[in-house]
Amino acid sequence: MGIKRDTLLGPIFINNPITIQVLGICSSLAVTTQLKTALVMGLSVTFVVAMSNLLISFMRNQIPSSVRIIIEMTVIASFVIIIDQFLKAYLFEVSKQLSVFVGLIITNCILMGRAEAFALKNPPLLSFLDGVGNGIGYSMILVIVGFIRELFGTGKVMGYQIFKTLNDGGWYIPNGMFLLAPSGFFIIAVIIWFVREREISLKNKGGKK
Amino acid sequence: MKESKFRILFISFIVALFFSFIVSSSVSLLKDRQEKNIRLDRLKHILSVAGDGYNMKIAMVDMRNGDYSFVDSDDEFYKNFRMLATGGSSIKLSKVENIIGVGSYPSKMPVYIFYDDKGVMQRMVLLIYGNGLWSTMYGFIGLEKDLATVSSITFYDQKETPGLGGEVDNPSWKALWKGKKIYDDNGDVTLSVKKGGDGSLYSVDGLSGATMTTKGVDNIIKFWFGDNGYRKFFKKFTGEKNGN
Repeated sequence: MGIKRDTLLGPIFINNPITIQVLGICSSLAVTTQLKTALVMGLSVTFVVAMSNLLISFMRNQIPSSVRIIIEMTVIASFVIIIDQFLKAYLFEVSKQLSVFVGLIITNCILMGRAEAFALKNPPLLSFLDGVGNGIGYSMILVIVGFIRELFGTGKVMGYQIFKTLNDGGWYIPNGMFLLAPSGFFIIAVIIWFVREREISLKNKGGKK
Repeated sequence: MKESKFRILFISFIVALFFSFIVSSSVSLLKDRQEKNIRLDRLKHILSVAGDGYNMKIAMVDMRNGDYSFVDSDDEFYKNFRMLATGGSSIKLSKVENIIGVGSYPSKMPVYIFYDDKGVMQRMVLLIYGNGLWSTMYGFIGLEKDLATVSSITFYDQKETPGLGGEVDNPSWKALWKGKKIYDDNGDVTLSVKKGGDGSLYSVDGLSGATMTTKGVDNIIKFWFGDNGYRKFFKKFTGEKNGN
């Protein structure tokens, strides 16, 4: 039980793909101007990384190592296409906003990273949990960044007005900088800084004792 | 044994076969729903350009001579768009004419005419398209009843650079179009889209950092309001109205 829990929760809190491994940064900048797109993107990545981990792990003893990368790509790309088609059918508006970035999940380093580093060496259930964990870890950062950017950039959360903006007779002046890509960098950098600083202080405390 | 050539080929083949089956079935299963979404999205764009409170009629316009007839639905047009735009029935453009970069276009195009409750024409929405930097941009332009003043414009399908050319979709840029005049008093297409325009009624400021997209939009206007575009139809349409 312990190893399963660690595989699932590890990447969410301790070994987060974005804050610790610094993978998948590109898409986390692009799709986080709104909470909704960030959420859908996070779920899509979670689905793809979990399913591709599962299938790759099923095949891990059969995959010839000389073509393993291309086979991993085939699996990942197929799931990306499926999720892309699904979004176009059921979440059309969001899929228009996400546009190319759903397709670009293929190039998200988390997917290949987990397939190579974990799914090829571990049994299916563990690999699946690892995928879910990494997907949620990624989504969590995306959601935090998306929440901050949408709230301060437009005064809204999930499209609902939280801060009444000056244009509507309220008090809040939307800070347009939060909607631009650089602010994504800043917010992620601050999160990474915070997480690592905390880790160092925890370690130091342990050392003193 | 695990690495024999036959084995590599065999495994790759099985994997490819299996996933191509999954991918193609997901595509074909979801196709109907996706098409419905695209259709609704298109209608939404048309209505957003026309504004509220009118009755819409769809006319198919013969681009060769400007004749038109009312139809019930434009579904067939969009479903067969690729064939209509490039196939045997399409109108081929010479190099000089081909400023929108697509080579040929359908000989019949849909036009959305909006009437108020008294049956007076108030707005007209036209399908316009042409190449930008990376992609063909598809959009609708709405005209006031004089058929020379822009009421609104929108692009419903484009794959220009997000943040630069992709800003053709930006509401504040599209708002610049309202009230601009396409034709001058002599009936020439005068409206131009370029960076640092003179701010007159005949000029729309271009997009920053998107010279080619801006040029694309400029050409779209020049083409679709010229003689290859809807001008013949406008003449027929207004001529008839005055005749009555």
